[in-house]
Amino acid sequence: MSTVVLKGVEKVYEGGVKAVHDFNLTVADKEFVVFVGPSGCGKSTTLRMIAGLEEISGGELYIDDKLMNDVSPKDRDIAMVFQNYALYPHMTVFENMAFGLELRKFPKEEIKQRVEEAAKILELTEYLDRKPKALSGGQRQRVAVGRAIVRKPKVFLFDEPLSNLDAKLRVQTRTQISKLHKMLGATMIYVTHDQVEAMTMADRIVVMKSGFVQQIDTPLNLYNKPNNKFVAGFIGSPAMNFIDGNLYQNGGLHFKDKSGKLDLNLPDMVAAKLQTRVGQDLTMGIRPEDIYDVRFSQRAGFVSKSKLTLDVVEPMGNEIFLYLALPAAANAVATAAAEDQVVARIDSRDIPETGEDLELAFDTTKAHFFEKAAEEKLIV
Amino acid sequence: METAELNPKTIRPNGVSTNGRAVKAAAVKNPRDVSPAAKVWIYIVLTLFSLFAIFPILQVFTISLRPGDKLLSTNLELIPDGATLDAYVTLFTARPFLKWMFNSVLVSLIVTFFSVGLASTAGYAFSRYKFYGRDSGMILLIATQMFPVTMLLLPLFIMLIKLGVYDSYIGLIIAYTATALPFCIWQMKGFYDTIPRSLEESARIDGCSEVQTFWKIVFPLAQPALVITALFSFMTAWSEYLVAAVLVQDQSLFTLPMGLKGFQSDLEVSWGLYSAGAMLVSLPVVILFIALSRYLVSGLTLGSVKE
Repeated sequence: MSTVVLKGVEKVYEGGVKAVHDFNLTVADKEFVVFVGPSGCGKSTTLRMIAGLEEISGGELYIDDKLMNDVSPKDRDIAMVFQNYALYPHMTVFENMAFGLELRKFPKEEIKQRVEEAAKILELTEYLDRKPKALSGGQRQRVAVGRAIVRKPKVFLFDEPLSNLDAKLRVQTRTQISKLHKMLGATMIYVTHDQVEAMTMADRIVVMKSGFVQQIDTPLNLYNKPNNKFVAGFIGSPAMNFIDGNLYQNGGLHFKDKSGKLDLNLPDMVAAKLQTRVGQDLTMGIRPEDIYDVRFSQRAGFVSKSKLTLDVVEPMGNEIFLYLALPAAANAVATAAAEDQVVARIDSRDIPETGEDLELAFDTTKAHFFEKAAEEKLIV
Repeated sequence: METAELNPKTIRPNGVSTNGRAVKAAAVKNPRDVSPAAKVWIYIVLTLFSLFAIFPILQVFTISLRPGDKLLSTNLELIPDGATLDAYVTLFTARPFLKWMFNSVLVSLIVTFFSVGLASTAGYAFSRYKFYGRDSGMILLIATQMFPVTMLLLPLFIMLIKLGVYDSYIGLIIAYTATALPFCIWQMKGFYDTIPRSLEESARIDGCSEVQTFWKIVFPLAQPALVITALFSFMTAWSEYLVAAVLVQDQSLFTLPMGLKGFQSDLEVSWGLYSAGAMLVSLPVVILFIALSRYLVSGLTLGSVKE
């Protein structure tokens, strides 16, 4: 059993800058939790507080029900993999992995056995005598992981371990770490700014922004039921489209953007939950895959059509991203700002031409609506 | 209307980054690609400066080999007519050259020991810990370097007398260590600043105490800086004359520079002995440099972290 509990954990730096606000989380035994958020959101700081590398300014941290606030890193029984690997350059791969065990006075035989076992899992056996500088980036990263697993700690901490690897290796190593998690049955906390890593690896994801936890949930729940506009925009690629506008009644409930030219009718199911919001300024969120070219789509369901001008085409191979200009308000100056466009993700069977006016279907059954003010989510 | 293919802004295929990288690589110029004319100039300048540096040493070497009657000759031959090792023999037999050397070695080694010991730990504290007076401390250390040593002589003299260590090894060692330390501390601090902190953090999670982290991780990595610090403090003590001349009266405590100065008397200068002595004084330093140069490698932390 290795659980990690954070109760109201806070970090205040000298000078009063508050980096982490009231962080509450219970990481269950064998759970894989990912902290994700843009840089400066406090995710690494929180991880470093769990590791003991950063003092906890407020709140309580428990590992296995023991209060850890003032326990030194070496006595917390944790292992950490750093973004820059942090291998000891003057030691061989073997010595790097054995270092933690030697300090803990393990018998020589056991050290050898554990290091060799880890090396086998990580395919490092033939490199045990090398110094880190004679290894490739991917190998160094595996040594860093090996150094953590030989210790068999209660909790593994990963601080953006893949961000220095190239794209292909990153995907490979990502799956390796997921496999390792299953194999070791260990509790892991993983920090990344990459929402794809978070979505693919995590049992649960903690989304953070400016030191505040935005939402803690499973990957799919985050995707389908984001708490607020930030989470909705952060999870998913390309990001969810946000269109400012308001609701009005005309036979059924309609959503009209600022220009008044984009007019979408809403299904009853959605309308029922928005009745009280008629006339208020709102933000509609709709994912790129829920907007499609009517000519090619056979998708059923409640759709609302509108004509938009195509700005940019990005062919990805298996699919195409279309960047479409929202109709400008009568008195507005044309800009290239992201809020004035929507992204649609369509099949790659046909590449429309830029400048073309496309008729698009908005699947408003999948749309989300957010309050303008506090950017809170309203309905599913 | 423009077609998508003609306007590169409308279609953004994947792989922009690879293109970007290729362009960058082509733009980097190999620094060794210089025109032959430039090469000639480079060699002319280098040769001139090398001659400037080497000439005095060769001159001293030649004089040390000259027989007594040709000392002031302007002949530029490297091995003079009637070359003799008399001066060297005299140094060891008729003069207390070995005693001076012993004194110099003793004082220099002890100064080196304390400078390295204190600078390596003080530099670490300045680099890693936040404490009251850290920044002002660093500035004070540099400020001490702004005073010429002649200005410090009198206070040093008075202080050492009051401490009762005037005219002793200890007095000299204190004076030299104090002179060498500020630079050494800055040097070490600067080097520690380049060692990534994550190595120490990793060590602390692996189970090191703070002292163990320093000994097992930081100290071995600081090797190049330690070697420079050691060389610098050794040289500070080895070739120093002025401070020694003021702080030491007892002839049995004379260091090499003081001994050599003794060859200049009011009536004559024993240039032969002086030159032979000078050659011998520089020898240990040259040997030290050669012996330690292999530790002066940069990039020791190569491969440990990726920034």
